[in-house]
Amino acid sequence: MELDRREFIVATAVVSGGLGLSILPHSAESAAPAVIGRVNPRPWLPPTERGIEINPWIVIGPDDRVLIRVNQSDLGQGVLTSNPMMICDELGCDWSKVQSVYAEPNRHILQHNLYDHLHTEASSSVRLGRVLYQQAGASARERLKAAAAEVWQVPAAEIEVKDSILTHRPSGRTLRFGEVAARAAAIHLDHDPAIKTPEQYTLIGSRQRRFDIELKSRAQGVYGIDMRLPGMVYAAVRQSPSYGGKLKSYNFDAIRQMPGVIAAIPMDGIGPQSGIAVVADSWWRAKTALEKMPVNWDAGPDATRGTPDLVAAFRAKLGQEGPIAVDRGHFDSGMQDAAKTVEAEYVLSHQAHAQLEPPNCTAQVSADRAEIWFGTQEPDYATLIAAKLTGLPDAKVFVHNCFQGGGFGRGGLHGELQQAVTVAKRLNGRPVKVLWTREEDMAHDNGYHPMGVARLTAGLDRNGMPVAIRVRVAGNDALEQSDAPTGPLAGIIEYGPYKARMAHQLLRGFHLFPYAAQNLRVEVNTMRTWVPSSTWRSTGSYANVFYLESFIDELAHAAGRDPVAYRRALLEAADPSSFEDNAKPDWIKALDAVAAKSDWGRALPMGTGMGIAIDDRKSVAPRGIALSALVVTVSVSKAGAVKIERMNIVHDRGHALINPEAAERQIRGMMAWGLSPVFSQEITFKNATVEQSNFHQYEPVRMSDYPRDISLDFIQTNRWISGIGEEVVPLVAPAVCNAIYAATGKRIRSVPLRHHDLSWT
Amino acid sequence: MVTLNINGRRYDADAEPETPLLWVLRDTLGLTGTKFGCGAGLCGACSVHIDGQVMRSCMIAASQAAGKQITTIESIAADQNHPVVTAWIEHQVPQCGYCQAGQIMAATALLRRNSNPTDDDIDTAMTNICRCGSYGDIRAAVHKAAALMKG
Repeated sequence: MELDRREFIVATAVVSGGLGLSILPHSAESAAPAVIGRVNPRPWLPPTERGIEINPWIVIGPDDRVLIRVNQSDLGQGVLTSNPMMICDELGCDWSKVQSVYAEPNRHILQHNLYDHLHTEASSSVRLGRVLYQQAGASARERLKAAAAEVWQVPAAEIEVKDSILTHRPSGRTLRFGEVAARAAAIHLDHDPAIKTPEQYTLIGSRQRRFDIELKSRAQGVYGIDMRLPGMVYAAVRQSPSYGGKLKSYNFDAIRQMPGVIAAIPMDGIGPQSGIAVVADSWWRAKTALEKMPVNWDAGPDATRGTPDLVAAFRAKLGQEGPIAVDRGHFDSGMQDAAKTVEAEYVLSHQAHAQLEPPNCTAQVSADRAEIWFGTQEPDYATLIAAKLTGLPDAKVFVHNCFQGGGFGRGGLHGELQQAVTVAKRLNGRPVKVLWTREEDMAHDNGYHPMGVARLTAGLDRNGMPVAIRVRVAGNDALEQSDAPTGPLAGIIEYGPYKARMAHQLLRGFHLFPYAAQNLRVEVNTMRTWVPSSTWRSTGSYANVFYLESFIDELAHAAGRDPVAYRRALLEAADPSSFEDNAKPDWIKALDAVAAKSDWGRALPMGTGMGIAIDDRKSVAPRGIALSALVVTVSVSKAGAVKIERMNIVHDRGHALINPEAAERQIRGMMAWGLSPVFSQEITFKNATVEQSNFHQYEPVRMSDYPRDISLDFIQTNRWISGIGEEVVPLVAPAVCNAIYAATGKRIRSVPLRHHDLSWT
Repeated sequence: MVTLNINGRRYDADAEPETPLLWVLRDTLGLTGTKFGCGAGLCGACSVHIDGQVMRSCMIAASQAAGKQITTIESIAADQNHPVVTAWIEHQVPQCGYCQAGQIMAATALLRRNSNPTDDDIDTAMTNICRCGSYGDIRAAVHKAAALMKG
């Protein structure tokens, strides 16, 4: 356990360095015995001592224990279990002896991206990793076989592998993995073996308990916020309340004498704002002192602006032609043939991530070394940031990825890391934990989910079928903070017949329009504003699916058709090239499946209605889809209170879900994520300052809002689905609003619902 | 200095009496199983039991808790056969897991006063926020724990 020892030595040096801090009082951490099982409570450390490294992913102990290194962050989606499943399906080891640990970011970087990637984003675990993991497992298995073949002097082809036992079929002799691991580690294969195809899987697709469940059920997992180091001090931080503002002055003398207070440290140019940190011997003392300290802010040039200004600026774009992404046929002449015109405008608010663990980061920076502890979706990027801020070489920066109290797309951004390093640099090697209040997190989410507006216009023929559709959207670029110059992480692309510049997340889904329309135009206005924006569980799909699935519902009703039958007819009539991966028949299959499951069309009492939405999460780049369809049944009281009665979900499982136990829980969890902005959640700005400060004003759904009746069924398709971490989120808002229309006749074109009067008589 | 009785043990904590119990537990005493989520009594991540009642420790001054029996997740979790923890594991409730200590404290308090809660009872009692949306699994685990407690 090298890291443990290193931590101890560094910590001891700090304490004995005479910084004048008393050692922390008696720790009560030993009150409950730690569960040392499949994952260490500190997930960056292995659960037990090391064995023989077969390759960077696989370590085998003398007792056949297999340690799998995981190159992603477990945000609750279960990669500490499911990534090992993909490796071990090939390896042929005894699953009951498998453990996992996070891959080391420092080693990853020094060995030139040893693990290919360390980031966790956009539901990419299987998409980016599966072939890598299978190959690592298959190659290790063949090397173990070759090692046994050497021992026995027999052809490797005569050796079978199962449950960590190598068996020589003709003679019946056996060797355990642990007995040949050292020999296998020295063997080089001439070529990598072929990996299994889906029908050969034994572990992938089986239901496995997640390795972190017991730790988390006994509250023993170490989250970033739980880090404690000898001699550690604490920092409370505040950035300018208004966006674009900066620190003007502060008076440390006013708080210098308060108990435990050590220092006030200004942080120029950190993140979107500048700010101030107060350091003390406990976080509560630091926070209390910071609140008492007089601080003056220069409010900045945007200080009078707010959400109404943003909405007005965005909506102004909807009255004029914007950058054209799709231009099929002739929209204007198509409209001249229309028997009926339908037009609707939609608005969506900013959203915060509000992951339950407030942003925090523990850092220790000395002249020749930096150690960082926090939960992050990008430990490699964090290493590079810390190296840059400290001026240390990458080799001297060690990021320890802790358990993380929620990611949801926020975790890749690192304001708290930048602050912790900046403060730690001033503390001569003493470790410091920076922790934000919830109010600070609401006010300074490193990037909010973009707000957006859209105007959709359609001309219908005498049968109610669209002859022309125009989609005009305006929204923030979710990836405007991205450093990536090109590729899927770069926000801006040139797209369409006129090579127009736009944010690909704002185009997402409309680039392959699934419903038949011979004349189609899509225009995308990419807005740059003073509000930092970022990825958020489902990102661009969240807005575009709301617009499209709401509008198609409006068209169905304008045409006097049933919304499911209308969608089905439009899908049937669509050109197959309008679908990625030949998915047209799968869309129809999913639509039929969810209609059947929900008993669509059955008679419902007044005030109760069903609404549908469907999408496949396609992206301009990278490729890959995951089809899902949702029917929501709502009841609306005469006073206008909405209750979710039932949610019927149909999801594409493709070739396989790696671990259905984890995948199904994620999908059901997405219902809560999707319902929160429907009922109540939104971020608004006044005087360039966020108006919501805590969960009384930014209200996620709770148990009482969460439907008791949820069904989840899968359709099998001939593809690997693109992901399962966020795919159903975009369906929730349009399905609910379509259901409210069915129940009340009220068409809702923006959420949250609390802004609308839904009462009926 | 505040003297507290936590999980049946006496602690002398070096903290101002007005310090919220949450921060004495976490930072002064190192009992980090109790989590900080909002600091305003809104999310329930910091739930503990005080004299058997579930309370949000971010809203209680340490001095208010002095002389009372404080129970934290560490005590519940140390019981290898605790029915609520057992049910949580069986139903694989945690995702990110951050809220679950508070959820387990709320569930344990609910089951102490109501050995057979209905879904409506659970809605009323379990008001803690879970951003991962594990509510369905929490509901199932509470029912399971009730069944385990009946034996």
